[in-house]
Amino acid sequence: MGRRDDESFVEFVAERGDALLRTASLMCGARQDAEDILQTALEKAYRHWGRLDADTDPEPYVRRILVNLVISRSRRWKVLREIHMERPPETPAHSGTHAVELRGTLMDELRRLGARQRAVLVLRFWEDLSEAETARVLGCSVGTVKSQASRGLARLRERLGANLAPLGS
Amino acid sequence: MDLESELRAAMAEQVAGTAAPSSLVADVRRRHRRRTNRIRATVGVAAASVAALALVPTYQSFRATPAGDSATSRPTGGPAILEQPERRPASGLPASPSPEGRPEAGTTPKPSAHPKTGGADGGGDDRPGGPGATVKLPHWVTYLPGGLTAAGPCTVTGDPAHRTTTCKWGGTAGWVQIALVKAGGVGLADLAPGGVPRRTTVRGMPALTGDRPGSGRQVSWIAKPGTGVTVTAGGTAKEQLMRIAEGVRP
Repeated sequence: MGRRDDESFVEFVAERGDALLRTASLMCGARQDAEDILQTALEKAYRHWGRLDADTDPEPYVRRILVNLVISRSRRWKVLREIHMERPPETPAHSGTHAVELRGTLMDELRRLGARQRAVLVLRFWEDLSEAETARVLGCSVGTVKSQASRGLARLRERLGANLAPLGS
Repeated sequence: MDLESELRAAMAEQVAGTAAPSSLVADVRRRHRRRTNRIRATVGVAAASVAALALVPTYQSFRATPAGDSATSRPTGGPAILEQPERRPASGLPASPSPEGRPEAGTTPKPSAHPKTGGADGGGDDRPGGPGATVKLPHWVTYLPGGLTAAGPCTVTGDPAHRTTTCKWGGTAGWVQIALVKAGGVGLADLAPGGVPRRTTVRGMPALTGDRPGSGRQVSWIAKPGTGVTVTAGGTAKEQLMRIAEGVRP
């Protein structure tokens, strides 16, 4: 059974770097944070790259590191991220470009979810992972994935409120 | 369109132009090198600290016994056979002044409250005698403070099963007595000083120390199985009791 070498790491990053950065970007919300977290995750994987089996796909391993990093960093920075405003933020008004605004609002609301809930939604609806695969990446049960996805979507519906009317939900 | 589909579309729109930088692999490697160097530096500093902590006491123990070589290399016909101290007494007196010339001669020493690093003690009246015959230091005594001369040849008492060798020195620096007990079942309790002894160590071996009647101070320990040592000092030499004890190598 062969082991992975340095060259395979370069190939892996070249092939899957974009996809991993997009996942990181959706889970972090900010591009700069996503790049930093992806570098950290890849560095962690690089430390043990030689011990990985050459016949198995390293992406689930790297993705799991990435998700764990995002969740733990989010917990650590939770206090710092709380920005107090002097007045409540303005509510978006309806306009002709409703769908575009709705997607923007949807992403804003997605960022406001908890890190774990956001990770579930990103893995389920962006990465198109099954509930079992999502549970494996997050290191939790399938039931937890189902409940987290359900609560996340419910919270999005609740926050979007009237904006969702055109969607027919 | 349901919420899930709209969410997928929103995510796709959000990351449409996102691409990993071409320097990603180089950045990851640089980050890895930095981490490795940081760990090496930390380990190096920790190792150096441990080495320093281990070496300093070792060096101090070597410094405490410099007289072994110098005493044997010194000319035997010289007037003084005892090693000169590295630190002179705080009073700055010459090596062998007359007792009358000392400003603190005749003062009463305070045996129990005397600090180990304090200045010169009086203790002139504690001396067992004046300068005696000049004899060589026993090979197992490697350090004595300056200003002391042998009160006489070492005396051996007892029988082969329980033999006690006692050596005494006296002079302007006070007096020192070292007793070496060689007996089969000698224990630390047999050598313990009177009063309430305190626990200490001599070269890492457990020892008992305490004040003797008068102004002397004593330390006793078992140097090796069947060999006990008791060092007693009075006068200024009392301040260097532990250093003298460290230099006894039976």
